[in-house]
Amino acid sequence: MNVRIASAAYAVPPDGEAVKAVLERERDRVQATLAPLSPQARQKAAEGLGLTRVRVCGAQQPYDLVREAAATAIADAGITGPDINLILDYSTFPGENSRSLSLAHKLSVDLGAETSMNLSFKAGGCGALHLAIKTALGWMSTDKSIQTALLVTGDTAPPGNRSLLPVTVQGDAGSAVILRREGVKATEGPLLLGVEAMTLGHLHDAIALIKTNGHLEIQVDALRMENEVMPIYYLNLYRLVQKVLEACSLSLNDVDHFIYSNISRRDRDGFRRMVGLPEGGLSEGGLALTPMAEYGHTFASDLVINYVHLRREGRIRPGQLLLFASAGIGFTWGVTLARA
Amino acid sequence: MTIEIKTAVRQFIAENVLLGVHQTKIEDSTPLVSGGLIDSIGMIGLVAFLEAHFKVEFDPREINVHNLDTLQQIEDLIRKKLAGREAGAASGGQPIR
Repeated sequence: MNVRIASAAYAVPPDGEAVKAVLERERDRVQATLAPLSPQARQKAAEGLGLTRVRVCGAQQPYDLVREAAATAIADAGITGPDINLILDYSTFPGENSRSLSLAHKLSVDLGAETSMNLSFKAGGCGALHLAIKTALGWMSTDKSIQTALLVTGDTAPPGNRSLLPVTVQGDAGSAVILRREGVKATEGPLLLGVEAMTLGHLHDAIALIKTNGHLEIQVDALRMENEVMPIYYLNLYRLVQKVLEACSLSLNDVDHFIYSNISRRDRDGFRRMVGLPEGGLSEGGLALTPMAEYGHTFASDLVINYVHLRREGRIRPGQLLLFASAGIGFTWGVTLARA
Repeated sequence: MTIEIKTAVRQFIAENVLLGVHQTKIEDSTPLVSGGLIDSIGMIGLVAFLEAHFKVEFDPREINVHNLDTLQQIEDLIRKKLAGREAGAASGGQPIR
């Protein structure tokens, strides 16, 4: 079964906020989170952020962003709502108004995809795109009637919880990816070659969602992040990268575009070192120009945003190898390989 | 045969992870990861070395700061895996993981 990435799109709210203002507003929370760290680690977290602004939902909810992105992706793929057989919502923070409901069900109605199978899962954070792709491929491989899948995520930080220091600062976005079985009409787009993912449940509370005074709050255990997650963060990502490449008899040298998250400058630099690129290589040397400065970090939508920007810039040429990689809450690691 | 695990690992770290720029003497109890001598990228090389040199495989759950933070911990883990391999070989079992 060959499946292609038929299209991808994202939507961000028009309003923005300076990261400096976010950190000032959430100063008490930030200080409490970082307190267990050494002065050097605190300094490194702040200096390595590299984010200046984030987009923030005002009147719009993540669902509105998802719907906008989905409509764009459907148009770009040259299909209509009824063509969609599977909608998979993998939002991590879909907003207080929709946190207990699947966005997929409402989306199916609004897009006219009323016969689609609608699913939702909430796991993986930035790594969730790979889980969604793998899940969709599973459905497609076991049900021949599923020709077209729409994968969506819409995320917004709970009020007062934009800072995820020492890791990142969260901006809001929605995104959509359409996967299509090859041979259905004139489906174009990168061919999926492999997807790998892994989770480590014992790290589930390194970044946790808790309810305090009736509101959801994101609690980052900075010490666990530094001592337990970070030492293995790139190692696990690297092992997955190797696994997916080796399964296709390929190596890192074959990859034309690395598409990675916009968590922080420090994190992107770590990934760059992991894949052996020279300094500045991830943003210049034939790789994704990050829209990090424009949108900040947007959880799993980062990969979609960076992919869409690469396409818009005309930098993805036929035959080129794309490697999507990310890791996030759970803890979850994922890698997807595709041939344009 | 006595395998000099700590010696081999110490030499690998000094030559490959610290790149010879650190003058730090690596004692058996020197905290490598939590002490900042080996970062997340350095862990990739260290684990690859351990797996290749001692012919063992790690499950993702085993690779953590509690098992690999000092030379002593690394030796304990490798010895445990090697003992498991010998036991597995004796019973015609699977490769060590």
